[in-house]
Amino acid sequence: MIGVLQVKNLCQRYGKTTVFSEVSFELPTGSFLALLGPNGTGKTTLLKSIGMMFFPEKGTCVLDDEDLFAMTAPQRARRMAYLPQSTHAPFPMQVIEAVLLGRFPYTAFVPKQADREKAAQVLERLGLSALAFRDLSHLSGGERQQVFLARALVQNPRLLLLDEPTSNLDLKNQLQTMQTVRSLCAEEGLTAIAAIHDLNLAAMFCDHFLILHQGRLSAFGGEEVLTPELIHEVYGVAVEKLRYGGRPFILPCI
Amino acid sequence: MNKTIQRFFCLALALTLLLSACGGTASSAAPASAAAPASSEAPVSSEAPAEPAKPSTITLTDNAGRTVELPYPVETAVVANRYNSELIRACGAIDKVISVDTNTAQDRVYWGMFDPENVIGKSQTALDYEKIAELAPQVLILPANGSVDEAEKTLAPFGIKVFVISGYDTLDFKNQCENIGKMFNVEESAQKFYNYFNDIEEYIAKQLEGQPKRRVYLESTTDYSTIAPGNAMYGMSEVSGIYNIFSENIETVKTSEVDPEEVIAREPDCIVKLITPAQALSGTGLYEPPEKQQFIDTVAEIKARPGWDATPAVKNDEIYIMTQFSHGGASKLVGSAYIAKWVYPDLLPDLDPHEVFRAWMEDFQGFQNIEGHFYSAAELAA
Amino acid sequence: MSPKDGAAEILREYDSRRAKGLFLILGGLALTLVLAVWFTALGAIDTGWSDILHTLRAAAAGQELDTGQKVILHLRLPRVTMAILAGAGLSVSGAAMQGITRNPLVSPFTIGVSNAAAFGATLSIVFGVGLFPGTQAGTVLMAFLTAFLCAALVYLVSLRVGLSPQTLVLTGIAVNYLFSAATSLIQYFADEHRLAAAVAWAFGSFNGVEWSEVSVSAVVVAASCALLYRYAPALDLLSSGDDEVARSLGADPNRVRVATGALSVLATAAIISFTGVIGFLGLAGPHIARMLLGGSHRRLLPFSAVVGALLALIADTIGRMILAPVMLPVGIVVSFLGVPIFVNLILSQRKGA
Repeated sequence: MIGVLQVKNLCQRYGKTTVFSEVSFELPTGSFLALLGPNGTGKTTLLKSIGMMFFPEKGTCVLDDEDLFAMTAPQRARRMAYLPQSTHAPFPMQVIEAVLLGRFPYTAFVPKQADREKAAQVLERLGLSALAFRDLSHLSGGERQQVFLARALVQNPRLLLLDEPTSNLDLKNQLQTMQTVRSLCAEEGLTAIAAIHDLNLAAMFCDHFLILHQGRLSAFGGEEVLTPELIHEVYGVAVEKLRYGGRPFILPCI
Repeated sequence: MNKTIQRFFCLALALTLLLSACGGTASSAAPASAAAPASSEAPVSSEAPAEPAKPSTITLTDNAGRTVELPYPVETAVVANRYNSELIRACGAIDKVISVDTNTAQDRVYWGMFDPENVIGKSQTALDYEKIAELAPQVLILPANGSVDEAEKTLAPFGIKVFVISGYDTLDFKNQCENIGKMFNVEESAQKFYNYFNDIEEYIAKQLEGQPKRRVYLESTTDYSTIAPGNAMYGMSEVSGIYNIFSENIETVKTSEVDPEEVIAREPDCIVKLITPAQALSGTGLYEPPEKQQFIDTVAEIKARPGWDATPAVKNDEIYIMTQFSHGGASKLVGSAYIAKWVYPDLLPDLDPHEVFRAWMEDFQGFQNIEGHFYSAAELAA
Repeated sequence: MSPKDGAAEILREYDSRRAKGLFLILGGLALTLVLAVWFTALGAIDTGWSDILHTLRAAAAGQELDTGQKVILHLRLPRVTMAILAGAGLSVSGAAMQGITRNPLVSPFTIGVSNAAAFGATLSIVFGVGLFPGTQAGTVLMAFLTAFLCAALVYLVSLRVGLSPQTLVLTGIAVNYLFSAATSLIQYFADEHRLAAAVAWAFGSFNGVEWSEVSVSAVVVAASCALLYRYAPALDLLSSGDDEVARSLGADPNRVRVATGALSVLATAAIISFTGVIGFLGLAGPHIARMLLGGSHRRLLPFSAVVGALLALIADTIGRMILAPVMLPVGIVVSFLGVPIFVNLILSQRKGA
């Protein structure tokens, strides 16, 4: 079906242990999905399995009627982009060069004019033009995160995978990042999936939620699946769910 | 940009290959393998300057088993390694040598006729090919432990031959004298030189025949570094008729350090050690002998080695010291003479090593005899 | 210098920097050529620029050459060419190795390839092991073989643990010590006359190289470098982040590592087998290039080649001129020459943005 991401029966193992199994869901394009669950539950593994950075044991992943797992890596790279958690930059590289790497699946060898224009536009759109020729290692963590987001966007993806995008950021950057992704989903029909552990950030910006618990899909759906009972069962924490200004807030009961 | 780079690489490659081709055609092609039968030969017609008569040549087999065709007689040669130069001088052909290496020329007294600024390189493994090309000798003489293959190939385009003489190789003494005699056309003086030392070698062999061998520990200028089979100096110890305590059960160790306890365990009757003055370059010796004090100190140091006082050698004060410079004469036959006499003084009545050294210095090297290169512990104590 | 907002501004700046980069590389090339010609004219025998041309013309025409011309053609030109090839090849190999391991301390020397080649050569020289023992061709072949053996060993061990960059580096370092010790062991036990040859080999010098060696080296080094250049974008990817990112962008990190690793080893072996072990170039060449021109491999690889070639060429010439008639091995001089440059650049980095 066009306009849908269909994940069926995804299973992943690590050695002899099963990390998760029988994960299936359907996500309309333009959605912002939060992958939730306690540490070590396999959120990141699930994310990377969808992104084919780990080869899943079983299962399929179909986006707009195209089987993502059956493609070659470059083909996949033109449809799916990945934002890593760590932003370590071992060697000096300029921001513009780093962003241009996003065109790797498209270019033969040298970035063409079209590639460069795309990169420049994305930088401008994210407000990073002033940093274009700065060295990655001289930027703050938040700025680097933005640069890698720019790189992901330059790939022209339809699906964006974010691995703990807010873990290392301060409050302002957290909000900014989540807001940017949400706008992209709304304005350009990008589908985003973020493995995230901050429930409230997820609740603030995401419209779909998937909770992984003990290797299984515990819940999938809109904001209504985030019930205090489920959260208590999955996270082991008693919470209250409040509404304020039309938005849900998860408040831990201390 | 990548097209520019790729084009450059292609250009560079083409240029290099072009140059190689030029280099290849201009030189007389020398075969890559330097195994026994192959020799580097320059076709005489394309290299030699125009001369009415074709120069005659002589074919000799060198110390490395290579068959080399040399111009006959050799008028100009450059020599690496001072033992080689000594041999050539003893045979009476030193006037044909136009340059030597730094290891030789550093001895300003013994090799005063050579200019240290005008050498062919530091040693037989660090040759200055440009200098050799400039000097344009007919042949380069170097020992087997030098860069023989490299020199052969590099000098081939210049028509300079490479001939191996290993002056330190006692067991090849006959061949060396013959080769020198033949190539420089000094066969008579070479024969005389050979006979003198051959007589000594035969005398030692004859006198010691059937006699029980005494056990000797030989040490080079590096402490605890012995002279064992495979070492270039082993020939010297063989000729001297001693039993080298490390000639057996030391299959793999050639010149490395030995365990001091092993020396004690093998009960040497005598100890012979080499020394050299501090100012000599590593591995070489000088005409001026070290101070007598250095000899005395060396003997004392050996006696003081822990546990060594249990050896017969130390108990009986049979410790003998000779210098790096002096022992090497005549492919180390001078050294053999001294060792033999020290170890078997009663069996060799007609052998006077001091006379041998005097003859070597005065008759064969044209130098005044100089004392102070050989001492026994007894002499030092006196 | 920092551009105001605007994609157009960025594009303009990008183009101008690219042009500057190209200029620097071509300038470096030109400098290398100029120095090559100048240094070919230098030596014990007096020669000038025009002599070089005359020599080439005469050689091409198959004419008889005089001593000075022979010196140029058979002693100096091969030496200068080899220096350029060695500097370029080792530097590019080092750059590629640093990229795929994401480790700035890596070079053909530190991860064992150089010492493995030395080991092979020593085996051939001392024990006559291997093909065509005792000949120079045999020594070269053995050096090649052991260099590849080393690379294979490093790869196979790392493969069991997932071929990660850290494992490659650690295994490489371990293997380096192994081969270095093995070589020393052989030298410890060698017959004296073989020992001198083996030790001399381990020193690294361009003295006595001749055209047959230079041609083999040239073909292999040029081919390896050209092929490595095609991996420049992949090297950018691998060096800029984790393997996952590279995979998500469509590259296969393992395949890239194997291919570029093999090419680097090939280029290194093609040099070390003829010249002996020369350190420092593979490490410092890329770093100097990176500090001057940035880390994008499309520029870094060629510029590393240029920097390496210049260092090697200048070091070799200084080595043979400064204490004439004694010749210092290039391995010694290149460190003395390169380290101050290197340190100077490191210091100036702190002030820059």
